[in-house]
Amino acid sequence: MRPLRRLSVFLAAVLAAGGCSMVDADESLSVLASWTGAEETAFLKVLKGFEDETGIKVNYTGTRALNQVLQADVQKGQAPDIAVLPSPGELANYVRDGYVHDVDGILGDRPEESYSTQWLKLLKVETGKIQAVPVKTDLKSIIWYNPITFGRPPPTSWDELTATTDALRARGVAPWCVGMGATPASGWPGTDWIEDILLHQSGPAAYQRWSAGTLRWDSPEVKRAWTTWGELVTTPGSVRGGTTAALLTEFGDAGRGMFTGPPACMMEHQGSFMLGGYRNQGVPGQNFGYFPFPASAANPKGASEVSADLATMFRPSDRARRFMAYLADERGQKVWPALGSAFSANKKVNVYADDVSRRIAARLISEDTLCFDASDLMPATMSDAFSRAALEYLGNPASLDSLLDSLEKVRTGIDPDDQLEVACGG
Amino acid sequence: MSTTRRDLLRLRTALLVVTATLFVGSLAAFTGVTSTAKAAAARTAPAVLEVMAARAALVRADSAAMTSFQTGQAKLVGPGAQYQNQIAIASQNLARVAEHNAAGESASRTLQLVEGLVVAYGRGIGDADASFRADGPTPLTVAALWYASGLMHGSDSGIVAQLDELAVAQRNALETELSEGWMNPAGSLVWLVPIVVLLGLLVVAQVFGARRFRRTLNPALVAATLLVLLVAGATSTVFFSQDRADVAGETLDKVVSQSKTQTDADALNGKRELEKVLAPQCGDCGESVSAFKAGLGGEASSGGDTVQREVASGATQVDDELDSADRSGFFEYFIPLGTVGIAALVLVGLRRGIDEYRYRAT
Repeated sequence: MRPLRRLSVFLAAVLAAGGCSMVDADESLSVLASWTGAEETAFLKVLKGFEDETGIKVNYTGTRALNQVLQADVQKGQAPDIAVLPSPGELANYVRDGYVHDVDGILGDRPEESYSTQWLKLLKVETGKIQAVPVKTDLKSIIWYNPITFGRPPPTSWDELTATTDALRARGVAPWCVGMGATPASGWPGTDWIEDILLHQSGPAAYQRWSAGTLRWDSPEVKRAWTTWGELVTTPGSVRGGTTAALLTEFGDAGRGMFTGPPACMMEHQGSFMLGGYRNQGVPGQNFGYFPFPASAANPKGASEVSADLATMFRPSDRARRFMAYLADERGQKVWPALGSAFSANKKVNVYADDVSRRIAARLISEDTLCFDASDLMPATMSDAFSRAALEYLGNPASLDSLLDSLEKVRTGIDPDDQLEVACGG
Repeated sequence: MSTTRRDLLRLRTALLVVTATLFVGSLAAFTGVTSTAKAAAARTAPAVLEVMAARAALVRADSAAMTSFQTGQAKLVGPGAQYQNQIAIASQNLARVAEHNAAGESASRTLQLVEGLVVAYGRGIGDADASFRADGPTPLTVAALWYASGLMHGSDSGIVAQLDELAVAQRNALETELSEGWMNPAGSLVWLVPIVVLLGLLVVAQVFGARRFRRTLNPALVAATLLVLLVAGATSTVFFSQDRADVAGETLDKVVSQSKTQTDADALNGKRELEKVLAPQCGDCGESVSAFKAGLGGEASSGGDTVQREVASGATQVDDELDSADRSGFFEYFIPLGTVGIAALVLVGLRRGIDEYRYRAT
């Protein structure tokens, strides 16, 4: 470098250093989450409420490579103040490694006034202290249908569900809309099916043991869940285009068949997050509605599967705690649901515009048993194998024994300390 | 003190202050422009080109893999050597993007996402390979290829879409670099204004001398005036540099557009191969495949090598144009030495008059 340029560079460095120190002095908060696009826009509205209220600037980073980015940042010692994790399994890992700071007390002296005992238990992830705040929650044990074309009352028991499936098939209409494509994690819609069937067939206790890695994959309960799913969707005529089409259909596209004329399929097992997509097809309650996943003798109260995006505090500070308190409170919780595409676990939030949304929200805040999505609780290796097995099973149902054997081998290879026992609240 | 001496001292002070301002302004503007051009040539422009190169290599890899499965070559060679080579090239391109990234933390995040997606894509092709070798073109083989293709070409979230976002971020960074700060023509005021003021003061000094000392011209101040004009000429090369940088930006946009067009045509080849793989598997393949087939319009790739050469040649041209914008060398030393010379000539030119009036009353 030439001497004169050295001088310029030196001056620039001095100026830049001044600028940096000014930024550091600024009281701001870094938040990392996976939301981009329309979801990011909605979340930014949540953040704006906090900024307007406190004057604290929030720097949001949205990336779909959340796991990679967060792990890299944590390893470099540059974790964000707050990260929103997509599953309690991820949360438990960071809690176990000591990276997450609890936010016990942010809900005041009477947290049960805001959250059900279910959620309070789930949010403690076995630590006795609240470790996270659910930014957005979803009910997964539901089956969507189009009331205009369905032509019969919604099933309320497993027998009625199978009878409905058979009757629709006999009419020459595919009863089920199934889409397994979900890059880069194709197969998870199948895992949701297995989880819900197992929860409802064998009950919350078996579900908890299974998600915690203490129930074998080749146990009768688990095998029965797989075969039940197979009977519903692999019988010819059950799915539009057959199982190959189910493998090749993106999960977001599958339900469109309910709104074609004539309908290409009649029911879709999918979470409450589908409401946003269905709104493009019609009016909630008129063009689409849902019925709960049918109860059974083992699950008479109808325990439901749920998922949540969980805000966690990685760098403790007064402003981070204020932010977590805002997020947990009615003020932060109502913003996103008011936009019509999300649900809150906070009991005080009452901003839902239609009856379908209100019913879902009521289930999410009720004291009836809620169980976290099991694949969200399993170690990544296990849940990945589970998703792939769901694909393979649809492609070749005859391979079930071999698949369960392989899944069992994966389970036995996992360190028991990496398993999480908190599947269900209540 | 005589009023003439006081006026001369004031004039000398003003000339020296303006000369010092010219020294700082012209040097800062010149080094600012040349170092920006150099940084753009070494870092920012290559980042844009590397992103486009990664995009092209990944799409070619996808097209090669789909062709291998469609023709059945995959039974023996898997996705094929062309696939492996292009993936390796893309990996090197992405490493260089990380090295040259000029678009900040947000672009780093996008790059991390792309790298993760490329790993997932490779795993998908690996799954298809294993399934194809074991059982031939089964629904699972086809599904694995379908998912991999979705990872590559997904409309908002696929690898290609993310690379497009990354290229825009890098291009915006280059645009900012080449249009703000010293590259902004308004920045030239910091040396143009002192030049004009200095020339004006030198004229005033000549007129003053002619009136008070009855001299036609002060030779030292004439020399200073000439030197000011030479320094102005040397510094004005920043306009040339700014123009070359603008031209380089335009050439870069042309190269990016050419590369994108060619890559999109290559992508269509790959998708059509995938369509052929899908066809025997199902009559009605569902909503997603129907939408995919409906979107297969446009021109398939042809003359790829020619376009590739044009892109490579365009990239060299961008490099040359940015290199030519860097005018450092002789001028970098002449500008400060010239301004020091102006100051010296001002001191010499006014010294006699100031000395003459040292003891006079008027």
